[in-house]
Amino acid sequence: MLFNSLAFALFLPLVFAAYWWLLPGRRAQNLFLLLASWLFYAWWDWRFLGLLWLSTAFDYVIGLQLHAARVDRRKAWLLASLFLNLGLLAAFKYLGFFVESAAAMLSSLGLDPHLPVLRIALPVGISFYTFQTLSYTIDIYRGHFTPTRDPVAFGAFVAFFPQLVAGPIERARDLLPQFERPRAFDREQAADGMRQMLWGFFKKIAVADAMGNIADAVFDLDPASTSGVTLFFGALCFAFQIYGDFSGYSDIAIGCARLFGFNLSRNFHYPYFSRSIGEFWRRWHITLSGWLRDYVYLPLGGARSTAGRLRNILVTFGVSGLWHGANWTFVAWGLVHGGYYVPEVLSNKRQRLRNEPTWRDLPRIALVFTAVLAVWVIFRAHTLEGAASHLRHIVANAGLRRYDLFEWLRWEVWWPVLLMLAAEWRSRRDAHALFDLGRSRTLRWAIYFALIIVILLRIQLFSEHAFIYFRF
Amino acid sequence: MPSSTSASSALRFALRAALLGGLVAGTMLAAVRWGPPAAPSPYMVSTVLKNERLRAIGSPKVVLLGGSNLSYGADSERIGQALCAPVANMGLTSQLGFRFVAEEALAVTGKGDLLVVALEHGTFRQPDPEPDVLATVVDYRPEAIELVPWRQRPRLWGSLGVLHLQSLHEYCWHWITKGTAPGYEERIFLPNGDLVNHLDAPVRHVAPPTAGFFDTLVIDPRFWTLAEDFVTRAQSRGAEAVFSFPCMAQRIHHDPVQRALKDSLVAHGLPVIGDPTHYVLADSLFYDSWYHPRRHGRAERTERLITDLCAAMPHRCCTNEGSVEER
Repeated sequence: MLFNSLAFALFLPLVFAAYWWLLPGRRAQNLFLLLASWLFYAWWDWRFLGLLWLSTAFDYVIGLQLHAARVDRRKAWLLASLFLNLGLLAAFKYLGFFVESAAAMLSSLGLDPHLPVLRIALPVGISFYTFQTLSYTIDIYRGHFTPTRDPVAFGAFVAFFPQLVAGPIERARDLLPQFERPRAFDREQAADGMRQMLWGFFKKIAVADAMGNIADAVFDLDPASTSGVTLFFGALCFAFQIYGDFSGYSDIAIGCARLFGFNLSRNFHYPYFSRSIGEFWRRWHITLSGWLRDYVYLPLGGARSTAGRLRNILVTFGVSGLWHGANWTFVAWGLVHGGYYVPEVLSNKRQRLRNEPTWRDLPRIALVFTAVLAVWVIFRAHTLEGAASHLRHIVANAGLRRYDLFEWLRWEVWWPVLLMLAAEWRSRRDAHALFDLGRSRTLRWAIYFALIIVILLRIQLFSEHAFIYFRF
Repeated sequence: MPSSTSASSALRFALRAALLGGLVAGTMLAAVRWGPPAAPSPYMVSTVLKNERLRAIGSPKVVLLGGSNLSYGADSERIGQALCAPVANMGLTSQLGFRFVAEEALAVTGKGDLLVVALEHGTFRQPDPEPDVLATVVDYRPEAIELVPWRQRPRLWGSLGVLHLQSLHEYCWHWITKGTAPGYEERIFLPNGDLVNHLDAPVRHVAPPTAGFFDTLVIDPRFWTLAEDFVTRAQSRGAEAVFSFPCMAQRIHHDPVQRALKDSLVAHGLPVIGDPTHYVLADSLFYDSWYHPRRHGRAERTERLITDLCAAMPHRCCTNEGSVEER
């Protein structure tokens, strides 16, 4: 079920009403949330529900066994969890890619391997819930967390519908205890959740979908015969598309969870206002970055030595790229970001998030955004050659055509982006752009109403716009 | 039970949210009631013009039924000359579904009519109208709402409200920037229902076909019921109905799939003329979709259709036996 669908518009009020008015206590609410979450997932494709059940049941049992096992048996249980979760990911997400890459490599060596072309449907959300359950068993193994004995609470933690299919990737120590204590309706929390959802829908529908149409059209063109201005604006549109899409999803997820009394982790902290690449990665997809830091970078050795640190940074960024999809473009995207980050590490000038950016930081913000923009081209392109050609022709075909400027600088295309940037700049110290709308209720309601109307005006009824991160 | 404080607080919150929702719904209703029509483009408004044309010409006539492969890719004048009968090209978009186009034609089918059906690949999967697309025509033809199953009607009503709101916004914006209302009445089709503006336009980029779409054949079981009923009802009105094939670019042609489609149509006892492979043309002959031929492609497709019609129904072909009117 998509957040931006009529089905969800009916599903959410019904679940909300039953959850707060009909169900006696925490256990019944958890069971109801679990069933509702499975329904939410099955709406997309019920056949993949089995994978979710398998992952849930297996990690629940392994968590208990890990906790109870003798020290010498604990590693075996952890390996079983790693084998299952990474095995599922490998089978459904990467097998086809590995086979194709192996076939290409053997062909380049003059061999004709006749490997089968595999078309395996990717179960939506598998990258998110497998990482979430993996962190549960790893934390138990490390002694950071005690497993729950409540299978319903654990199932609801894995399948919690607001964040099931595209995060934020929650740690058990943050989310699971919330399922294990009673919840009371908090009007302020729910109202703020609704505001955050509204802002998320604005970013998804008014910004990302509109930008996506342009980006899709430009990235389908042949760069060699396209003007540099068009190629540049195509990349720019994609940068806002992916930000609006993913941060919009996260806002909707976090806001939706708050309606049910849950607090999810922050996933985006205005990343396009970053003053350095390091800061960008502390603001972009924060829960994935944290996961990779704790379960990949630090186990590899972290920052024990300069050489080891550089290697670990590149490996971690490479894994981050591969997590996004089974394509060399994603790996290259991660590695280039890692490469960007290396000089910062070497010069030891990491920008801390102690204070928020100001107007004086704008030149640095623009520089970082430009660097990030260039790498989005690699992320979006179908192939590495396509990405290289796109970037090359932005410069090579830079001869300005007047028509292009009129085409791209249209107010009706860009005003939602400008509104998003202005609102988020104003609220850069807050959790989301609608966090503080002043004390006037009339003004607040006018803003809500206007935003909903803008969203309705920008809805594209004749095309499906699933969230990009569902593919990952 | 949950604590009464929690439940009553949640109720108050829900009521406030519902009030906001009600304000928005009221605005949409006002736009539907008093705003401009919902059709977002002159293209979709053409359904009204096409329907007027269909009703205006009496029987016998030739009616072309299908999606945009017909509006872009059939020369109705030439077909009319070959069959000596007026032609109504009802092709618009495949998303209106076979149910819509069939009912539209059957409502005015009379003795001696020839109904030629050429459906795009996706229509066999989804013979019902897409609610969003249908919402663009119900302003003019409210009876069309009957063609949508009840479970899809909430979507249709929601779409109708959104489309009206968007249309109102477009009107206002157009008026502010240009000082006039937008020209929804603009006619982009010929009176016979053909679209010709694209014939000499340069080839536009066409997105590659979705993997697994054109190389698999999926036919919704409801299609067979609809198609068999369509043929029976046409015959009961003294008309003939035949199934032809859309013109398509080589890029999306999969021979086993097209053969299986024809075999399935024949196996269900539907009258089929020609062969899908006759309508496969070079990619370079198409405009902005693998179903939209430009001038040369349209001419080739038209001649092949005439050949197939004359071969299957020589009595219809006036070059053989004189015109239908003469007979």
